[in-house]
Amino acid sequence: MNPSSAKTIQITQLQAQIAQMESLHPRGGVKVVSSNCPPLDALLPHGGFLPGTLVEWLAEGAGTGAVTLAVLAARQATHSRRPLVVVDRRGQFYPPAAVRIGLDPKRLILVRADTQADQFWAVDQSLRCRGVGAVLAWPRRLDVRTFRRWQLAAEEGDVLGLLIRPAVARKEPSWAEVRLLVEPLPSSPKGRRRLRLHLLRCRGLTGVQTFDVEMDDETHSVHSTSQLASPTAPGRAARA
Amino acid sequence: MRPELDGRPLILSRQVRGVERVFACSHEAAALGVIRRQPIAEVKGLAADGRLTVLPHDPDTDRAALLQWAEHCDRFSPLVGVDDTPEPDSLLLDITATARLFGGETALAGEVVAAFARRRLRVRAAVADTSAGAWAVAHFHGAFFIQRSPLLQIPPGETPDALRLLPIESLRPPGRTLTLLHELGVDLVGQLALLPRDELPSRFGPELLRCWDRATGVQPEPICAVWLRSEFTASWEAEVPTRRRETVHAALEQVVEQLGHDLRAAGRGATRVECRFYCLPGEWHGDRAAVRQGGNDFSNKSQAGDMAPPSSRALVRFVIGLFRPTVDAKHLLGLLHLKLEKEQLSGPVAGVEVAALETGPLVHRQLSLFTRDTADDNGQPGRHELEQLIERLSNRLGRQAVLTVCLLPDAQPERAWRGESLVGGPRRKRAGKPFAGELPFRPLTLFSRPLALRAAPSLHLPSPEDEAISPARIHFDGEEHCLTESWGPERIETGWWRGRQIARDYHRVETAAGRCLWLFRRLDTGRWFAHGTFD
Repeated sequence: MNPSSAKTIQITQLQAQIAQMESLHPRGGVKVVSSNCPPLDALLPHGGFLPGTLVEWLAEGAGTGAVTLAVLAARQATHSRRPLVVVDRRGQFYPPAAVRIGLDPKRLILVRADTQADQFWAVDQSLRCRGVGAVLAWPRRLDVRTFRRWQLAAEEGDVLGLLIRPAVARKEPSWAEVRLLVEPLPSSPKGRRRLRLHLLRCRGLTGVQTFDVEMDDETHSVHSTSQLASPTAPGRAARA
Repeated sequence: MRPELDGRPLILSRQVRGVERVFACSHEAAALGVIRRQPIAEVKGLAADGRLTVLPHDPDTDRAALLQWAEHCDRFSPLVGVDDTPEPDSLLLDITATARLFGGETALAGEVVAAFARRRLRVRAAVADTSAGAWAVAHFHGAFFIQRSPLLQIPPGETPDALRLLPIESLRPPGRTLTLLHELGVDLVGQLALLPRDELPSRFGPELLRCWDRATGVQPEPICAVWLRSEFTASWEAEVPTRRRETVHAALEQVVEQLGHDLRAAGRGATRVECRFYCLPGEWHGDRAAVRQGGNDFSNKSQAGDMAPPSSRALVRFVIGLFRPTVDAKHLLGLLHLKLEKEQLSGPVAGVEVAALETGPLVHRQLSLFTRDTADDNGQPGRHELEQLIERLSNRLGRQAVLTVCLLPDAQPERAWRGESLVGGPRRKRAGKPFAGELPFRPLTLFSRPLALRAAPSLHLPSPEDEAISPARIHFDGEEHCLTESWGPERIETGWWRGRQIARDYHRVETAAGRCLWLFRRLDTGRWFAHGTFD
């Protein structure tokens, strides 16, 4: 056996061990929140997001479709009758659109926070509350301590935290269980929206998984269009 | 509420069996010949265009306005209520005990009318033995319509007689009963008196007799007070004004416990609680307290209070709102302490007062647990925590900042929903059904103000004739975007009666980078705006 192959085997073994340690988080009988995006669910180790964790959606600029994906996951999280708390700092979240995606307006609580301090406090309090199903927020800048506090709060409240953040945030460290980068693509000839998702970070997975999805605006269903030859990190990707 | 509409002909419209009709109109509009129940289409020709403003009638707005006016009326009576119907239009004042302080009922009613006149509001005031009787007289008595007098006092004991000549509608019986009565030729209350009383319930249902008895005073009718300050307050006066925080906290605890005790005894829970700290220097103006206890110099004081609010430095006040009526002193204290931490007491504290501004019937925990369990199949925990979260958020961020979403059937995107506060105040009765139609495709991000677009200089703006063409390049969000796809237009127009008419052609566009934006072109100016992004 030559030294290089021994090294490969060793690395493979170590990777397997890490994967086992990371994926077999003791969560017996936990309810998984489907992302309502089948190709993404297929990649996530539990087949969906876990309540009590944070999910980051990174997107460059506006109009990318990242919030739609987050609302789809929130819709699933509110099936337990626990509401979605939207902490909106800019006052621009438009509830009728969320209702059209299938969110029950009775399970939607809109919180308007004018300052960053109020926003951080409201997110923290909502994540900590066992009566809440999911929290949706747009923190642009998030220091590590606040991020960690939110992660602990989400764990305490068993709440799914959905954070929409600018793409530059990928350079920052993260306490999110799942981190996704959303890139819009030109729409399909039928006029359906297409998005390229990069699964930048997820417990139990190594490397960046990239895949394309198509979104139907009528039914709000998402399906896969291609599974790119992954796991190759896109040039800019630097794992946090 | 809308000063720009002052002195202009204004009409409130409402749909009756598919036809938009006049529900109410201002005097200026009446002078133009507008009458109630007239179809809006007919009104159109009465004034030069643009002069007439037509707004949709909204009972919720009415109720909110009445609640505000009720607050101003608390110097006339300790018990002021808003008409407890889905579409309230009246304030009810119990003046049994206070009339003599103003020199009689007529004098008091005169002051009420004058007080509203000073605020440029015309009202009709009726004094009668019962609140239902006063309502009937104020709405239907000829004195208001023929002699145009603003107030009418029915002498004590004569209310049943006064009702005789009023139409049967004045008793507000249920709609079906009303139709039946008209079919039988019973149009006036007096005719009802000729029918055998015992047979009324079996012929017309129990409600008619109840309405009548309430109007004549045979049965009592409660006024649902909006301002229960006089009923549920607790105060503490320091023997020596103190600066010690512990003493102030102990005092607060004492008054809150007293308040909780009083509320529990009455079977009510507080939904809004006001807390006041009277600090030195400066006099201790018990402005509201003076109204209650001031005895003979009542009217002087209340007018003084009208003009000069007590020095704000001497009085520190704040209000907390609750999701569900509560008497739990510990819970109230927790919320008050959260607020108190942010307040600066100006000096030694001479007194503390707490008052339940709004209360609701107390729902016992046992009962609510039970209903919860049946509603939630999985025995979901956290309902109570959720209520507490809503209260904490509302009390720190303001009750206008924590909202539940109510969809409205309005074509204009900005008006297609409304946020309603989750805490404080009685649950509002919804006059309309929640909107349940097919929702149009809309962006998740809608700018509170549409952003005017500057088309790239190399391109000329499309002329108003090319309605379907949108600009090929736009500046937006600090970048230039090349548009590759466009869907639309979706034309959104609002009625001309909205005052500022909206006429826009919306386009959903996609940029070369695959981003989706929502643009519109104003049909009147041809200018382009970005209104949202499909995030």
